[in-house]
Amino acid sequence: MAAFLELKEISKNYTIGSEQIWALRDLSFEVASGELICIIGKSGCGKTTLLRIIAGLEKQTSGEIILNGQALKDTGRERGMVFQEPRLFPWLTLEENIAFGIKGRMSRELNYKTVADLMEMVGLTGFARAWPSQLSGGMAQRAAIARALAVDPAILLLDEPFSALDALTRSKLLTDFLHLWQRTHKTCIHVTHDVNEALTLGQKIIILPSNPGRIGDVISLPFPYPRSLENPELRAIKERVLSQFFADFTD
Amino acid sequence: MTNVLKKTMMALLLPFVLVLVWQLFSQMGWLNNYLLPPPSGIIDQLFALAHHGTLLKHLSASLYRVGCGFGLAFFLALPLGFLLGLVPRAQDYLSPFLNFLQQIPAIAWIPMFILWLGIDETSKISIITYSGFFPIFLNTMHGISNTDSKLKEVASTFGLSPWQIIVRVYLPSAAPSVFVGMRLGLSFCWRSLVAAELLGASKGIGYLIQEGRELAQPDLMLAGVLMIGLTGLFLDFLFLRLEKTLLPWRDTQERREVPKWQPF
Ligand SMILES: Nc1ncnc2c1ncn2[C@@H]1O[C@H](COP(=O)(O)OP(=O)(O)OP(=O)(O)O)[C@@H](O)[C@H]1O
Ligand SMILES: [Mg+2]
Repeated sequence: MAAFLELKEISKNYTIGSEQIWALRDLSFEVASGELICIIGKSGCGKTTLLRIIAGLEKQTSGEIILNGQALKDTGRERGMVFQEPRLFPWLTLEENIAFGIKGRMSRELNYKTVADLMEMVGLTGFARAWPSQLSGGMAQRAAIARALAVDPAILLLDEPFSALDALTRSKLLTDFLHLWQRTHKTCIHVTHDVNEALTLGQKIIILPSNPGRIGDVISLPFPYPRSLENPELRAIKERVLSQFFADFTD
Repeated sequence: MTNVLKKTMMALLLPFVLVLVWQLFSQMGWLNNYLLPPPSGIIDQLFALAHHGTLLKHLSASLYRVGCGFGLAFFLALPLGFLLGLVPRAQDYLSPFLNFLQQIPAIAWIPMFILWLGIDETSKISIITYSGFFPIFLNTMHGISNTDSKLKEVASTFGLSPWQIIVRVYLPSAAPSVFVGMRLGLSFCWRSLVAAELLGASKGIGYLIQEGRELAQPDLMLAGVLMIGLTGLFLDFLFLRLEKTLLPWRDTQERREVPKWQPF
């Protein structure tokens, strides 16, 4: 498969006070079309920074990102982003929030149908007129996913979308998200700090080292869905991922 | 519905008790009826005024001035607040100067305004515009510049142009703040109106009070004071209703209002 999205030696440094810190250093990887990739790493290792650079919300210090053969700069509708928090617009109803990106870009009927379909897909039918402040955290996060999907982006970037939720809601949303991906086969980069989440979802796991500059491990997971984490092969991989985390710690 | 009724009852309880006690005390002869006329006397006075049409004349003169002054303040302050709210460092330049102006009550300007603009409507409307301008301007500017950058980011991931982001993110996000400014502005307009009318007018509620002083009629003065309070309350109520209709989502959120700019 040809690379759909290609990151070439992406580096990002920030100046904090008088210190230069590297959030990312010479990070390269490729994503094929339709692939579901999980990026995993500890807190502060640059996961959000990486997604924000791909989304165009932040400029890399050096390196290049190629999407479909073209170098990326700035934000664009072909890259959908789901943030760590739902970030719904409080002055819009749920359906207006989901329609935010497509408003005025298609006929009223098509717009309505798209939103209704998405609400059904993420299980929010019946809440069309609710205000964001009336939704639970899980519902709001599902709405945020629907809003990103509404514009039908070529690639969906998800920044720990379920990390703020309780364990039960999280595992339910994880299953829902997996079904959604199996139906749409959208290219996804899913960032998480939860090994189990990465093992449940990812066709490929990229381990972002907490010490930038070290090459992260890339692990392929050629296992069918839905997966059981009791699978011995997956358990072995989990050990491998965890041991890398611990190796990081003792550095 | 019962909820609205209950709230109205709760709001009316304190004034009702006060008026009742006041009236009782007056009738017992414990109060000097000249210094503090009984509520019944004030209400009689109001009815007499209303009956002769004088109340309507004064009230409409005052409302006309406030309408013009507030309208002018609004149309000047809103665009200026929007523009400066979009300029990141505007507040650094403006704050000290605005803070200086904030120390000066509108009433202190009235003699100068009369000197510049004459004694008639222009100077009165100008002073009203002046005192309504700042709360609307400041709250609009703060509302715009405090727009959540997280929401701006969401809009820009959808490829919205800067202009679209202004219309679809900045404006709605500043709207509640604009309303706070408008309500404050209106109440300041109303206050400075009375001040301007006290200092020189031939009609208006402020003039009515002044007339009461000259005729040594405390019930007339108190009738004027009552009208000012009631009209102000009513205007504020109208604005609240307008806000509820235009910003229905605010009802589901917790409200927190920080009054900015207190010229009196
Ligand atoms: N705007 C910024 N200015 C300065 N430093 C920043 C900025 N944003 C991120 N950093 C730094 O970059 C590093 C990576 O941050 P980032 O938010 O990408 O981590 P993360 O992997 O997403 O962490 P978490 O799992 O806690 O969300 C951190 O050391 C952080 O201090
Ligand atoms: Mg993060």
